[in-house]
Amino acid sequence: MTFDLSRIVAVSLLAIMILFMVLTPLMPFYDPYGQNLAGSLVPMGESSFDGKFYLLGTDTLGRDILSRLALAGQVSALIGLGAVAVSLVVGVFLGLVAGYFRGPVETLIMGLADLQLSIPRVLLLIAVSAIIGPSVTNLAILLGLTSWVAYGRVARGMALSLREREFVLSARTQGATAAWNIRKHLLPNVLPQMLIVGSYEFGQIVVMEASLSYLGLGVQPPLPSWGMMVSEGQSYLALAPSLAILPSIALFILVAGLQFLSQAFTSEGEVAGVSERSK
Amino acid sequence: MSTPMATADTDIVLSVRNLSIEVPGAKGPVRLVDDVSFDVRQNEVFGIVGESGSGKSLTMLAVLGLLAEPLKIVSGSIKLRGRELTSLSFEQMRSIRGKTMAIVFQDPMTTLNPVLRIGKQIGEAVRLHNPGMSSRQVRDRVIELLQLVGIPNPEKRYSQYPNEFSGGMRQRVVIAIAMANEPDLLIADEPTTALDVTIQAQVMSVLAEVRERTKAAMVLITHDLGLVAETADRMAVMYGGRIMETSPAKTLFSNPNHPYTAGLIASLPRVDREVKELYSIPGFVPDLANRPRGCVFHPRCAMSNGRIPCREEKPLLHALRDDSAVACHFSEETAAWRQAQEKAVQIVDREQIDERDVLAPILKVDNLTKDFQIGVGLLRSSQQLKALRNISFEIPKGRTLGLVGESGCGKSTLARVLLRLLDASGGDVYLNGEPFMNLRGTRLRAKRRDLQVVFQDPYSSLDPRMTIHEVIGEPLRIHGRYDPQRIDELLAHVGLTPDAGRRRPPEFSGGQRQRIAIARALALNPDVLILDEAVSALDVSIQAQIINLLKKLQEELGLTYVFISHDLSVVRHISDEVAVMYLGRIVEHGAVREVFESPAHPYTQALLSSIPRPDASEGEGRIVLEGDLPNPLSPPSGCSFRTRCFRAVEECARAEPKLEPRTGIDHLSACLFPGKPSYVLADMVGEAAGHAERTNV
Amino acid sequence: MTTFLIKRVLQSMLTVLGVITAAFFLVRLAGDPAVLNLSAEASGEDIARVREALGLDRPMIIQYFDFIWNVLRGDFGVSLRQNVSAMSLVLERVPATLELALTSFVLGLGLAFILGIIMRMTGSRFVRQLIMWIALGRQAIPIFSFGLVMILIFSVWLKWLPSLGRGTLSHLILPALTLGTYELALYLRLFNASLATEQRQDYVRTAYAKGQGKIQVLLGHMLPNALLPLVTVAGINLGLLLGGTVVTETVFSWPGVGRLIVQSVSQRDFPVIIAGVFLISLMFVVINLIVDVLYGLLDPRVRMV
Repeated sequence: MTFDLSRIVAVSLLAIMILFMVLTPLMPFYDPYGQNLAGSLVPMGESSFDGKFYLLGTDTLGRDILSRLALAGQVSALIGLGAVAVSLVVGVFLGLVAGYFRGPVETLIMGLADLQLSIPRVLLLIAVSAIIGPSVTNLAILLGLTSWVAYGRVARGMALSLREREFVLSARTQGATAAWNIRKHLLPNVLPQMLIVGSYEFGQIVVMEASLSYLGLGVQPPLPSWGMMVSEGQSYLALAPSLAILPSIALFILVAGLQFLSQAFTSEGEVAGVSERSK
Repeated sequence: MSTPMATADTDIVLSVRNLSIEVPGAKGPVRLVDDVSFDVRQNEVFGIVGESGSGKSLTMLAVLGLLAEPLKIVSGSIKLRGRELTSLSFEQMRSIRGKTMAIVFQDPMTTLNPVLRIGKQIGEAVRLHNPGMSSRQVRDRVIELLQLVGIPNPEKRYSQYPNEFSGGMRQRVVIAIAMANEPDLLIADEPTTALDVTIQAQVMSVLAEVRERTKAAMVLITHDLGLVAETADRMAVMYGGRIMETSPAKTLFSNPNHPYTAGLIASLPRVDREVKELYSIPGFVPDLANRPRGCVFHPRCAMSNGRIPCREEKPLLHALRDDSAVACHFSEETAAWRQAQEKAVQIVDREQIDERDVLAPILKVDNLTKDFQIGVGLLRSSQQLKALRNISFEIPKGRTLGLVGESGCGKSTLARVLLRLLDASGGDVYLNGEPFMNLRGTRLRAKRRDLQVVFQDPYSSLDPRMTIHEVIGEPLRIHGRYDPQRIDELLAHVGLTPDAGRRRPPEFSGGQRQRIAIARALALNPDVLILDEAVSALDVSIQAQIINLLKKLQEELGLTYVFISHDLSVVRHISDEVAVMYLGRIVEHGAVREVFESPAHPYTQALLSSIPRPDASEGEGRIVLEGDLPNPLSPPSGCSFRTRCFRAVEECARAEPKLEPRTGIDHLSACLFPGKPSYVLADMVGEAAGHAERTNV
Repeated sequence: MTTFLIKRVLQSMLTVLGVITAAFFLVRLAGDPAVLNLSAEASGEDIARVREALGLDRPMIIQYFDFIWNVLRGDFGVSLRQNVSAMSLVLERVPATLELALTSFVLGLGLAFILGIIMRMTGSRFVRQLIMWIALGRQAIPIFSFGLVMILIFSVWLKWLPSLGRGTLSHLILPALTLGTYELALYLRLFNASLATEQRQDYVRTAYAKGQGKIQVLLGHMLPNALLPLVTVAGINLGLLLGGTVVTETVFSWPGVGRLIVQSVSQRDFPVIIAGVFLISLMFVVINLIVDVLYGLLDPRVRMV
């Protein structure tokens, strides 16, 4: 894999997505909520009966799809960033602590990780969000708390080898405390790797959120979400395929961009975001 | 280019002519092997010595047609028994590889496939070049090969996996694979570098035996001058991708022609003699992307003095008398330089240290033990591994104690326990007269300042994300005593300039990093420095620089060293006293000269005898210990060395001999029959061979 | 090996206990089962009576052990909507889910294996990169999007295959393809990465030095080593596969456990949700145990323990 090429692809895809999400709301026609009964299911690039032009058409309620796609993207990105932040902090902290101290602390933390892995993430999220009810904040925190394992395992693995590295040992012989070593040596050395995992996980979380929304358990109306838009479009698949296809394309651009980004910084023998079993 | 080797052509197995290998670099191709020519003749051992980056391994990989992707042969010819190899494809080479020529790689732990049975791996080599053989015949041949390389119980071993073999045993398996088709040419690429010295002796003798049987020619690639001088018939010295000189191996040490060779020999600590100071070749291994003009060695050469031919003109290999050739414009001056150098480092006043004996010990270790619990005790009882058993010694201020032993003897565990990186299971350590083992928390952290460490691996000893300034400043910051001026001072101490502080570890070579690690260890003004294999990972010429630096610092700062190493020659050079460890115990302890010149314990004797000696006279016997280190989980009863000892009798199984003065007041040993001089032992080797037990872990 | 086995089985049992505990807390989180069991107009007295009948007035710890006991008997209570045991509802859907999951798993792993070998054997850099880019691209498409595109092409436009339901083999094709290719992308990346790692190992050089050819070395030496990490990671990522069934089943109206769970969510039928989640987790733990035992059989280094 030529890393340069995947870097270029990644950056272009992400740039397109960011520009789309930022610029669309600045347009004069921007209106993600406004319904137009005179213009439901307007095809792409056509005008409604009352003469309004819709670049990407309208949905069943006559809402502008272009505007809704942009707003849904912002919501997804926001949830994704929040979840990545939560899981990165929790995962790196638990992973480093487990790897540096070892012993019962490690057994406990890694046991928790194994346990969490044995309940498929989507199912856990379905169960929890069905019970406590989904909201944007809830989703970000829930997605974050169920995603720490990826960071935790990689961080622990690295901490295990870092703690035996001679610069950590010699800091200990100089009188450094555990907190010093974790802060000064372990954290800076695992962080770049964590950001690579993060960019992969970001994509996964966007997919996860979209899947939940598709199942009706994610973002709730009137806020739009790509997953929900696909689900709404499914009933009109034969009639107006663009309803389901357009949000799918948006999802693809964002997720592929993030995935190529993490791949671009991963060497050949590794797979971003996938860690080995803790043993 | 004319070549000096003029023998009957029919004798020549391998002939390499003007071989050059390049790799693409940022600023155009980088030449890693440059215009190399040599011949290997029937039934001879041809040694290629060089430090890392000399191109010695690449040359032989090219011969095998195994150069990895971006590397390319750009010119030259390789002929095996007269057949040109460079024009053959990978597929065409297959019928030659493993059949006409074979290779033994360096690290036996990784050269075997971990998930395939040993028998299958050897069998592959047999079957591949003998497609007609039945599986029965292949199996018989494999068993025969296992016997040939001295693996006991070949029938049982046949179906085992590599992880059931010790390092030495694995290397025997690798040799068996190489010898499967009785090749004409055997290439041994650092075959013993990853092994302990007593195992090295075993493997070298196996190699000699199989070669004797098949009359194969052998190319021995190594960084070890002693090994090549002892084993090879002829040899080439490589540096910066070029051959510096070729000569009969026997005369290498006595009569080097190239100043690089002479410099290497002068920088090598020797187990059989003492010098005041090692010569150290200045500078670093050349960056081949910016290959020096003229002679590749001239920037580091002691004789060049910037003379114009050295700077401008590549010296070609030209023939001298008695089958030697040298690539130096002024090789006739080498002998004189050498004499002057040897004279300069000769020890004149032999006794100068005894006056300091009255000093109180600065580090006192009393009955230190360390046990590890192996196996989680959920379902079966956990086993106890006694890693350190009753270690006691004292070191007076300003002295060096050398700790030697092979892997698994506990020397690194001892370092970690002393440093409080591991908790001791028993015993005491007094640092400056104060107990050190029972300190906790803040008091421990404060006291740690007095005892610092330099580790082995220069690539893992510095945090790659810090600048050198931050690295050296870290101990100061931990103790809230940060002072930028102190850091510059420390850099100066180890021979670096203050601007080095702004750079990061990846920009430095191994030797420089070790200097930085030393500077960091000195930051807190310690009394005692533990040097845990601190020079073992370095090339000979760089190793001498660091050893000299350590000696200089000791004199200037009055430091006390615990010098841990597997390399007896280095230990002899740097230490005042030496302790020899085996299976977690000190088996001999005494003044350096006493231990090296009249070793009391048979293990020490065997260790010393295993070191390849370049100028060993013919017929001088060697003690080759049989078998491997016993499983430390179930050590032998009585003396733990008895299973490999050539002097063991029944009595040895009864009780462990105490470490006590047996051959002199200050010369302690733990053997019931200490101190027969080694020349007597030479005769005993034969009879010992029969009764030493093989224990394979 | 026996020690390893016993250890692994104990570990799995501990995991199951953990899952049960998680389920217990989820049940509590769902709210007072007494309230959930009754209609909105129930009086406080009614609630108290039901609480007593359900044993909800007892100490938490007793309820917890009670819960474990019930779970072990497969009793997750009665469906709030259908008045039959929640577990029986879930169990009757299990074959459908297994059919889908196993077909996709075999499809994904098998294709990944073949493509991985092709990638290593082809001399063409272009082919290698093309396969890798497609795999990465496929992984970036969520299951529901991919499924809908499949339906659009093969059911709506070409009218070759049914778009929903279960029954004939033709019903299975689209869902299995959707889920299987998602898995394929992941496994192919893993397999390729582990082959790339193995290629750099010293034993590969040894094998070449014996005179072996590229195919012999790939199949005889690298493959047995590269399969090991693939097996473990495939085991761990089975969670993704099982999670994927939930979405796939919804897209294609496949009558499996996942679809049942999603339907129960909209009906707020908590016993069914929890029984479903528990059962899928149990499947995951059991399959992982099998994978680990397999791993032990493949790797002599583990077998010795």
